[in-house]
Amino acid sequence: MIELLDVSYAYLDDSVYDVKQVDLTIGTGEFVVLTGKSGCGKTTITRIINGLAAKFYEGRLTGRVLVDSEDLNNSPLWKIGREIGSIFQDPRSQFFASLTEDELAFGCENYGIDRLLIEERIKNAVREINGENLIGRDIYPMSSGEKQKIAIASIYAVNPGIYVFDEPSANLDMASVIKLRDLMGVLKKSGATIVVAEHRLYYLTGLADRFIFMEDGHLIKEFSPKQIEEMKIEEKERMGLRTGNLQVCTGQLPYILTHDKPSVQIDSLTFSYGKNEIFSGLSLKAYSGDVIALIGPNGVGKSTLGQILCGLLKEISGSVSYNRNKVTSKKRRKKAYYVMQNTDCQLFGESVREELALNQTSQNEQEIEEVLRRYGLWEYRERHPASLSGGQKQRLTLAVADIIDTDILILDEPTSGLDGENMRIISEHLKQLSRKGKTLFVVTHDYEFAVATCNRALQLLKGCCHMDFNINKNEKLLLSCMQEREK
Amino acid sequence: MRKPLYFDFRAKIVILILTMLLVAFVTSNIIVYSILGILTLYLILQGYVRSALKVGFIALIAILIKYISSGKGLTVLMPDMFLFIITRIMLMLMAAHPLMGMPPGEAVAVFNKMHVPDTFALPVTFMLRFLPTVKNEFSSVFAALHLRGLLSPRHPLRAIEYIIVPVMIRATRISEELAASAEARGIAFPGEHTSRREIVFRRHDFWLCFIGIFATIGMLVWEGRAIT
Repeated sequence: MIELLDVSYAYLDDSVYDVKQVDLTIGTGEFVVLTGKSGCGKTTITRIINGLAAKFYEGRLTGRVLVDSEDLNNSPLWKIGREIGSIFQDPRSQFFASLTEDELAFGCENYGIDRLLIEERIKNAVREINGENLIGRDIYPMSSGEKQKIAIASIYAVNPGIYVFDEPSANLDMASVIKLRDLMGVLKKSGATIVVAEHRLYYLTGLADRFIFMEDGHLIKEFSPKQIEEMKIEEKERMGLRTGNLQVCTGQLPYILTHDKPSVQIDSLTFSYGKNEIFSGLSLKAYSGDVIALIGPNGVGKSTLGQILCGLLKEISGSVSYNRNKVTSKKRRKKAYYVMQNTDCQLFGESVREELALNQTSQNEQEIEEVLRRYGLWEYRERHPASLSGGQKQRLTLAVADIIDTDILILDEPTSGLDGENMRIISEHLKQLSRKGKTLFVVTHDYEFAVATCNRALQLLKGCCHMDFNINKNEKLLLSCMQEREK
Repeated sequence: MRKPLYFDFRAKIVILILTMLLVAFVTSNIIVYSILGILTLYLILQGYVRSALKVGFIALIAILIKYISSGKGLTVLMPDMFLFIITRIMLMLMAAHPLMGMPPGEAVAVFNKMHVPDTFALPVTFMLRFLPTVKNEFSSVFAALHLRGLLSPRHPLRAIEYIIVPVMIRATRISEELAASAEARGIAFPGEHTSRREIVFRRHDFWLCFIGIFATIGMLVWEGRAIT
C-alpha cells in the first residue's frame, strides 16, 4: 500500500510548489492512472513515490510518504528500487548495456543476486514479456517499443511489488502501445500495484481501477474508466485531456483543395540504406492545402521519406517534383522544411525572439512579433528556448517553420508527449498553414491528432505496397492501419 | 573468422592508461603512427573490425593532409595543431572503445571486487554508457542546422556555438535521466554486486598487460633517443 499524507513538493531552486498538499492512498494490487495537463504535477507524484523527488532531484518535500507502512524518508534509493520499479518516459535514456541480456541482468547484478539465479530470472522475464526475439540483440538500433519492453522486463527481473510508469507511451507507435497495454495487464494479473502518469488514456481504460485528474499540483477529481470513456468532448477540452475512447474521435474538414495542379509529385521513388531497401516505386501526388498523415509501424521509413522530401537524404532512383518542376535534393532544401521530432536539437537562439530572427530572410521585427503572438509565445520572447515547456518548444519550432515559409512542410511526430490541450493547439496551427496553401506531411503515431488534423493518409509498409486514402469518412480504416502490427 | 578475444576489464584499463601516458609524452610522428598500428591490431583482435577501420581511416586522412601540406595544415580551417589533436584523440578513442562497449553490470562488479570507492566507480560506469549517446545527438543537431541554413563556413565560430549549446542541453538531460534510472535500479547498493559474466583475469589478459607495458617502455625510450 502506498500512502501520501499531506505531501507537498518543490524542485530545487524553485519557489513554486509543484505538488500541493496531496493526500492519496493506493491499495495493494490497485492500478491507478494520474492524468492532467502538462505541468500539473503527475510526473512529480511518480517521483515522490519512487523516492527520486526527495533523494535524486533533492527538492523540498513535506508531509509523509509511506510504502507498506514504512516511511520512505528512512530508505536509501537502492532500497526503494527493490520494492518499487520505475519505467520512464524516454526508453532511449534508461538502458545501460548494449546487449539485451546484460540489460535485463543489470538490476539483479546490482542487488548481488547469484549468477545462476540471474540467468533464471532473465529467462523468466523474457518469457513473460514474449521477448524471445529480443535475446542476443544489440539494443541501440532497436525501435522505441522494443526498448520500452526491455526496460519493463529488466525491472520485472528484480521483482518489485510496485511499478511506477512515467508517460510510458509517449515515444511509442500505436501497435507498441497495444503491446505495452498487454504487458501492464500481465503485471496487474501478477498482483503488482501499478501507478501510471499518462496523457494518452484510451489504452488504459480497460486496465485501470481509477483515473485521478490533477491540476496545478492538486488532486481535483477521480474518474472511473467508464466515465473517462464516455466523457464529452467539451469536458475533455476544458480539462485539457486526451480522449479515453478512440472510436469517437472525429475531424472537421474545412479544407480548400485545388485539384488541378499537384504541388508535390513523387514518381517511383526508391531508397535504401546500404543493402537494406526502405521503399521502392513510391508514387504520390499531393496538392496545395493537403495535410497528409504518414503512418506505418516504426522503422518502415516514414521519417526517411520526410528527409528525402526536404533534401536531407538523396533518393536512389525516381524523382520528386515541386510545382511541376523536378527538384534535386540540394534544391529541395530551399523549397521544403522539415521539423524534426526532437525539439531540443533544432533550437539555437539565445531567446525565443532571436530564434525567429536567426533566419536572415526575415529580420522584420513586426513580422516576428506577429508570428510570436499568433503562436502564443510573445510573453516568453526573452526566455531561452531550452527553458520552455514541451508544448511551447513544439510551438516555437512551428513558428520557425512558419517564418521560413516554404511551400512544403514536413513534421516528424509533432505531438508525441503532448497533453490534449497542446495537441489541439498544434492541430489548429497546422490547419492554418494548410489554409495558407501549403502542402503538409505529418509523420505521426497519434490517431486522435491525425483524425483532427489530416485530410489524407499515406500508409507505408515494408516493401512496395503503400496505401493512400482520404481520411474523411474513413476513420475506421485509419485506426486499423495505425494499430497494425509489423508483419 | 576466429572468435574475438575477450579481455578482462582490468587489462583494458591498463591499456587505456598506457595509451594516455604515451599520448601525453610522445611527440615523434613515427612513434604515434606505430601506436596507431598497434591499437588497430588491439581492436581487431577483440572483433571491433569496423570501428578499427573507421577510426584508422580518420587518422590516416589527418596524416595525409599533414604530409600533403608539408606540415603546415590546410589554411586556417585545418591548422597543423588541429591535425595533431585529431590523431591523438583518435588514439585515445581506440584505447577507450573496448571499455565503452562493456556491459555496465560487469564494470560495477569489477570495481566492487577491486574495492574502488563508489565516488569514483559510479561516474566511470556512467560515462561508459553516456558517450555513445551524445554522439547521436551531434548528428541530429547537424541535420537541423543544415535545414535552417545556419551552417556557413564564413562564420565557423558561430556554427560551433550553434552546435555546442543544444548538444550540451541534450547531454545534461540525458545524463540526468540515465542517472535517475541507475539510482532507481540499485546501482548504489552497498553490498557486493554480482555479474552475469564471469570475472577472471585470464592468461591472455596477463599477456596483454605485459606486452602493453613492454611496448610503452620501448616507445618512451625510443622517444627519448629521438629527441636527443
